[in-house]
Amino acid sequence: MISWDVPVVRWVRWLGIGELELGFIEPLLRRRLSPMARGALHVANACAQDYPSASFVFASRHGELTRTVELLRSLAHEKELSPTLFSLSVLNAAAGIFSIARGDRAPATAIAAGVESFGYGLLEAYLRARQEPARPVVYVYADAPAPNPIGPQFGDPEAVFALGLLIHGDARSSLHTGIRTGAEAGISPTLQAYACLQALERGSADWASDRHHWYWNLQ
Amino acid sequence: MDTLEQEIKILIIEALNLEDMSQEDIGSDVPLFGEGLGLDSIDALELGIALKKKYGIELEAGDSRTREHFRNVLSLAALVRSQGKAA
Repeated sequence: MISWDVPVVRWVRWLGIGELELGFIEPLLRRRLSPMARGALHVANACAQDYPSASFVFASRHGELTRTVELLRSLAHEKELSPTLFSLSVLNAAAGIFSIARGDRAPATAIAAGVESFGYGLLEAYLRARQEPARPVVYVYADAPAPNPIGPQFGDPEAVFALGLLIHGDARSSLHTGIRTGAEAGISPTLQAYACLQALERGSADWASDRHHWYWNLQ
Repeated sequence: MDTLEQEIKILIIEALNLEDMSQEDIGSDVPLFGEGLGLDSIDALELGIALKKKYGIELEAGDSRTREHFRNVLSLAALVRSQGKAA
């Protein structure tokens, strides 16, 4: 068992309903955002509020897979590929647009790690905050169900989902995070990030893949 | 009002996903790229594909006249009239 404490200043979730605040992105840039990226940038901006020097870690299991599948469909039907879809089909598309929209050259990275994308993204964000304690880190996880014919897959969200955390040493609360190998209690059928959200809202939760058991405890 | 120009405006709005924009917002003589509508190079490529699909127009990437054709809705309408197949 290894564990670490993630200092959480604030967190913002997006469950696919309600008003998105994307006014900070000009319409010409905004029109290219997928529903998943819209959720991601909404929570990213809300978390980064008043923290102009923050760096960013984005994580997603599928990223812009919907666009990739659309491109593959075009290829299969021998149609021309859409340059817009192609340019924004990469995992770090949301991070790139966020940086352009904010005129922010802060470091940003994008992580994918299968069903455990949320957990490893959070670990990356935590390590960055440890490495450079003066600089807050905004961690943004966003996903949508994998599109047909690839998905939906085991452990996918039911709809667009985004969760953002502002990580900084001076936070009042911390998210105690633990991971151990093995999943003797059985594999969780739900999105890994749901478990962390549950811990943030109710105090604690755990989640298991076929390889690891994760738990979160808000302190 | 020229119906081909209207048709091209709708094509631009749909192909480039210009949310919150209507035909009335695009003046026929307003530059599409840079100053004016503010479209970028990815839009130019996307628009090229849309014109090919709808009107059968083949544009060469290295052709210096392409820039002229893409100036505004009027020049695109002229291009479609002279080279378009489906219009």
